Amino acid sequence: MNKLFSLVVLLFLSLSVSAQDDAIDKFFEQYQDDEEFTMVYVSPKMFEMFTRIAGDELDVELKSIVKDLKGLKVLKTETNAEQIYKDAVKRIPTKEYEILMTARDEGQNIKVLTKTQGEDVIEELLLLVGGADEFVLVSFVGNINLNDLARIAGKLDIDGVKHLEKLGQD
Amino acid sequence: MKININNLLEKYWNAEASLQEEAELRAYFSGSDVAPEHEQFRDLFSYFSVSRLQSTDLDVEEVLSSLSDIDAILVKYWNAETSVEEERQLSEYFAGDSIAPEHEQFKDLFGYYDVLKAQTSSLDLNELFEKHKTQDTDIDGLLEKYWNAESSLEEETVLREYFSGGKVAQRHEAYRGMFGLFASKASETCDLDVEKILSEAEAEIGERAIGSHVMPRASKAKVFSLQRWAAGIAAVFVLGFAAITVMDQAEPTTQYKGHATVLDDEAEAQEAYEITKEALAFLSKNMNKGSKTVVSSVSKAEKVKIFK
Repeated sequence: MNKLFSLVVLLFLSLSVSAQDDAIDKFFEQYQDDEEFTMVYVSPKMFEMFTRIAGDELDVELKSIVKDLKGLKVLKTETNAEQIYKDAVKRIPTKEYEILMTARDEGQNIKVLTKTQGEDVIEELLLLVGGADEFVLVSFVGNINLNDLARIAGKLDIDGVKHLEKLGQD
Repeated sequence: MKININNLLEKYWNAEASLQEEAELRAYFSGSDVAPEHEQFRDLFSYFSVSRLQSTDLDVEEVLSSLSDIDAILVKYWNAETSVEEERQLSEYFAGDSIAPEHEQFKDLFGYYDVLKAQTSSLDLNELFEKHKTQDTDIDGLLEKYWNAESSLEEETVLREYFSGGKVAQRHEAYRGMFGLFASKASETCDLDVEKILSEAEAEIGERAIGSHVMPRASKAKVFSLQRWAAGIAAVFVLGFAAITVMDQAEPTTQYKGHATVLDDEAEAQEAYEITKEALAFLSKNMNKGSKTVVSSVSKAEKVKIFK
């Protein structure tokens, strides 16, 4: 009897762990319907299509990053940004996500977290930016080679970030 | 003539030749015109003609009869073929004085059997069994039957009477108490409430089985606890299933609401790509922000000579 009980408890523990996987998803779900928020979700299927469809236009180096990505989620708001940021930070399960980098620059808090499988394999990368005027949460699912990213950082159009804002106005 | 001989030989090798035919063969071989193909056998048949008296045409019956009667019977005896009469003859012979020297060795054997015979010869096994079955006033016999559950009620009464009496043999003393008990118990009927006893036993077992748990127990404790456990387990599973179902539903839905844009349409691949690019750019920008800060701080720190 006792063994059965402990087995059941373990079973639910394992299930609850998987529940933490969806903490970010839940966070997204909570706000995706909120009109104050901008939400973008690029599905794994879409990423598969990238390499097939937009093959020629893909920057080679960018392609090397993109091909390992499986999903992309963006959540952005300008209202109550700080509050939302704090809420998001609280809800991230620290057991799952390791802080890769935190910074605070010009009143903006930046947090980069990763979920790793084993030593080198990044499963998910979370970027949280919270400041007085905006809150952004970006979740990259899939392997991201940060070295490659750093290399192409200069190449990427930094101003292109504005596109994200434009999208919110659609 | 030759064909005949071949036939005879054939028969001979098959041990089918009659004495007459063997005689013919012998005559042939002892003669001088033995065919070349029969030459090889000549010595054989001449040997036989020499040893004729000793072997080939010995009649076993004859042999037996040429022996003394006792030897014959002995042979039969070793083969367990003797009749009772013949065995009697043997025993008489060995009981007597005129035993042949070659039979001396068996004297003691038959002497032994003689003694035995006197003891048991009248033993009829069938008689014994019959006697065993029928009513026996011998207490030992009755007891034997009793242990084998073969005694009749009357016989058991006899036993009981015997044991309740004063003249119980020493070897039966041990059983007296038992038969005395049976006498008094014989009239009792079994009116035990088996159900009651069983439930009480179960309750006791149930209590002990719980071990360290101290719980108030009803009389049907075992069944009760099972039900409770079953209900508990069922509840756990129901909750578990509910939880799993709820969690399964925590998948990002694709809905168009507010400013939500879900790009999974093929037509929007390009746009999705752009967005991804921007997202990555955003990421790298922010990361660079951090590193820039670090770099500037470090450069500042270099100016401060902390370590001398």
